[in-house]
Amino acid sequence: MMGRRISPIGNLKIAILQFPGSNCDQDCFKALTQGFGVNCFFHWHEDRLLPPSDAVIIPGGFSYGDYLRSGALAAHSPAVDALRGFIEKGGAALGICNGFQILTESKLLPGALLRNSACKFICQQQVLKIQSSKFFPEPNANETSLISIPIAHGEGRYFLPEQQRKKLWEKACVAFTYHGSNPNGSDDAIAGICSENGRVIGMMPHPERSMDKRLTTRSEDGRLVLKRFLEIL
Amino acid sequence: MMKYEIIVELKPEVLDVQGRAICEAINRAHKGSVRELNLSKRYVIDLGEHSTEQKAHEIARTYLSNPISEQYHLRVL
Repeated sequence: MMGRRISPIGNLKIAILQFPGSNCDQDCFKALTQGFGVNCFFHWHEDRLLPPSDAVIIPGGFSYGDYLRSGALAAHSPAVDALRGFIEKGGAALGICNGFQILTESKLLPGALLRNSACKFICQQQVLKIQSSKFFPEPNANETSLISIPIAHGEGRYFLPEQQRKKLWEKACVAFTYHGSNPNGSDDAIAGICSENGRVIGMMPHPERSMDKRLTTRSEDGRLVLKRFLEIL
Repeated sequence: MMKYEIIVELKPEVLDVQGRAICEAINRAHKGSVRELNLSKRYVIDLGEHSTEQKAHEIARTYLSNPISEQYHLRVL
């Protein structure tokens, strides 16, 4: 199922961006360091120079208080300028929740994330379907392609005009869809997408919060997503 | 001093869930008198004496609105 990894996980070095209002940065750090033994470091939003890294994580939270629009101010920060340069050179990035909003606001991924259709902040465990995509080329065709990961957002309704959305599917860039219900009213129940090269991923659900069955979520399916991300590096 | 007013709103094809919720709340008290209600944001920016309208458009397009889901209207105050 998984592709071959060239560099040993322990040698990987991953930058986790930090904005004023980020609140999942520590969770991402622990998920990657304790869960996989990866080397991680924090990169402050004002720093334009990104140290050599194998990947960048854009964590969840409320960057800049979500002023203007979620992720809009962060999209114009020096750290995201650095991220843009990193991605343009083929670098890999994973944006989670507010990180996904930042990636769409900065046009590094297509679409927009709008207020949930029921106007409510949703915080719940959610079943997702892993779609066959550039990120996950061969998910199991059976029920194991269904995973359970928490969502926690007020503005996660994925929107992309129909014609562009059709192209997104055709190019195998839809990575995850909500399954069983569409909690925020996203177009085509889209929960996560990837770039055409499969190396930039944005998703509203939080894999870093689903790393250990002993925790209240009773699921460690987030490991599967983060493991796959490490494998593409 | 050159002030510009920029109104940002969702494109007509995008569901305005806040507008819908406000509309429903008003109609509970006023028996369906509001047929439709759309929310928008108003920004006023002062770009100084030597600014151009082009600059104001650039700011509206790049920062204040998201061209995927929103449209804006600009006027000089």
